[in-house]
Amino acid sequence: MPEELLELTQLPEVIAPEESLVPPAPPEGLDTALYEYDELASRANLRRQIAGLELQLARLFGSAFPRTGIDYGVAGMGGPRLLSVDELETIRDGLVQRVNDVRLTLNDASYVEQKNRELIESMTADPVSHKWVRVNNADIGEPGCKHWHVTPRLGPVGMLMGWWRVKVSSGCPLAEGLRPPDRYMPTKRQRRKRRRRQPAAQSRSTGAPRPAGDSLSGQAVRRQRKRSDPIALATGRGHPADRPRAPWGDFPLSEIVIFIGIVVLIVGFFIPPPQGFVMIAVGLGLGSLAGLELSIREHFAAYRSHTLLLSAAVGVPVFGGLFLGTSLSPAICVIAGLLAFGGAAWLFTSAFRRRSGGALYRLRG
Amino acid sequence: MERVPEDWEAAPEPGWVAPALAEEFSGLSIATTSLATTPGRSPEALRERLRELSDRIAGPQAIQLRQKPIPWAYRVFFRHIGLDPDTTWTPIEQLIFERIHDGRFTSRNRVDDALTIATVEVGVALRAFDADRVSGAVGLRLSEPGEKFEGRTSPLPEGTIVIADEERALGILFGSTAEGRGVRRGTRCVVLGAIGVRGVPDIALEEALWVASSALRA
Repeated sequence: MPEELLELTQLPEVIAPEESLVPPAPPEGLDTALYEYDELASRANLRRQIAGLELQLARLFGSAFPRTGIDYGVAGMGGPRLLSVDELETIRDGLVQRVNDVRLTLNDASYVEQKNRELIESMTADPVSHKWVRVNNADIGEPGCKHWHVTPRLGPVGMLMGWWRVKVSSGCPLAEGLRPPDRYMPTKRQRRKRRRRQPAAQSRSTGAPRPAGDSLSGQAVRRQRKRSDPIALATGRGHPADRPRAPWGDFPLSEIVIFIGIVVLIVGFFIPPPQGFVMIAVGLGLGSLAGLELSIREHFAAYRSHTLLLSAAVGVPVFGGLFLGTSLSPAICVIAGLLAFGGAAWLFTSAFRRRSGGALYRLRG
Repeated sequence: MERVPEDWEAAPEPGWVAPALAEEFSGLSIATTSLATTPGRSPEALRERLRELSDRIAGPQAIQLRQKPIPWAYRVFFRHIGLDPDTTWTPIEQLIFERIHDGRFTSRNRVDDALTIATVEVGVALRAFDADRVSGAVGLRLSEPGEKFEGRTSPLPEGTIVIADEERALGILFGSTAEGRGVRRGTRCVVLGAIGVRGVPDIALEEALWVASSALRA
């Protein structure tokens, strides 16, 4: 630098360093990148970068659902105010760091979820090799409460026999807790007022549950449910869930008894009498017993009426017992059988009517 | 109370933005409109609209919200002015959060409910002031050194972005309202202000004001 220039103290480059922390400007005409520094443009550029990063973070947030526990936060600088370049850089760097962190977290989660999906496939293909393994929806990054669980069929029997299968759960439990108030639900005061005025019509006007005698008939309820049930509409029959359950649960006792009955019946045809006859009779009896059990269950659950069958199951033994076991004339035996049949039919019809809400019979569930 | 004529329509007026702010934030704007109304209990029609709005908004919308253009623009602007949008929620996110948390949009009063409806429908940030306590046009500027703010003992930090009329600060941008300048019992006329940022089209501000005004007339 020329000596004469050093004497001009108003020039920024000759100001003593302790007087100013601003770096000296280069001589005029010597434009350097160092001093061609436009803070406004820098801030605008940083704001553009922040906008892009914020969009990336927002997309990651949307794609990460329903995974939880991921930190998306980037601390603010306190505001609202104009931020300096340094502050904007800090926010930009924080966003870059956060976007990278979230991406890495999601990549790791995706890898684990892919492995869990493969596990579900291998569980389904070979349940025996994955006994008691359970995979939840959350393990594969899906919302909901569904889970795949390798369990033995028929409980301990399946464990002993090696009958393993993948059981898929039916979903989330029903929502619980407080529900928002019904907009048409009257207040306590209104209810008291109405009760005083119209005690008889109270339940209808408030939408409260009707008394049993005033309810829709079982058939109407079933018809209503059937109309809104796709399975029922598709099959033309009742929903399988309506079918009465056996007292022994899912164990297929009736099916086993019928199977044994059929086997005994078939074997009875190939065995000479009298053992053959006995086996045929036992086979028929077992088959009838299982069928009778199902009929009783369905009839008394008002799922389907079996009045004729059940009445015959009373009348025929009465006739047979009298005819074979006594010396009464056949006509009396027939009359007694018919009386037993009629009485039983009346009782079974009454029972069905009570349970179904008024229906005399129902051919389909 | 002054009766609103039947042929009334919201007529948004563009507010002013101080040059220092306009230079830094090119899209920053404010549009206002005045309306004669009272902040009493919301009529049944307005509460019904809130209920319908509650039915339309659920978890999926909340998850996708920050990817939508207008809410995203506000989030970006919050970052630009030093606010963390995950701590200081943007107006639309605040309302959606309350909807998810409470199970519905709770009715507060006529003005608040109208602002809620307009903000959720359009996504634009809205503010309301008592028109009788506003002098001249409303705009945005930076606070001056040692500037007082009604309801606050210490002065505003220098450079704080405020909503102001021609005399004083009416409120901090996306923050509190100056004491006595907001809508209160006895307010007869309301100034509605829609704050626009870069990425929010002017028509959205007009629509937000129109929705809020029509809700106030319900």
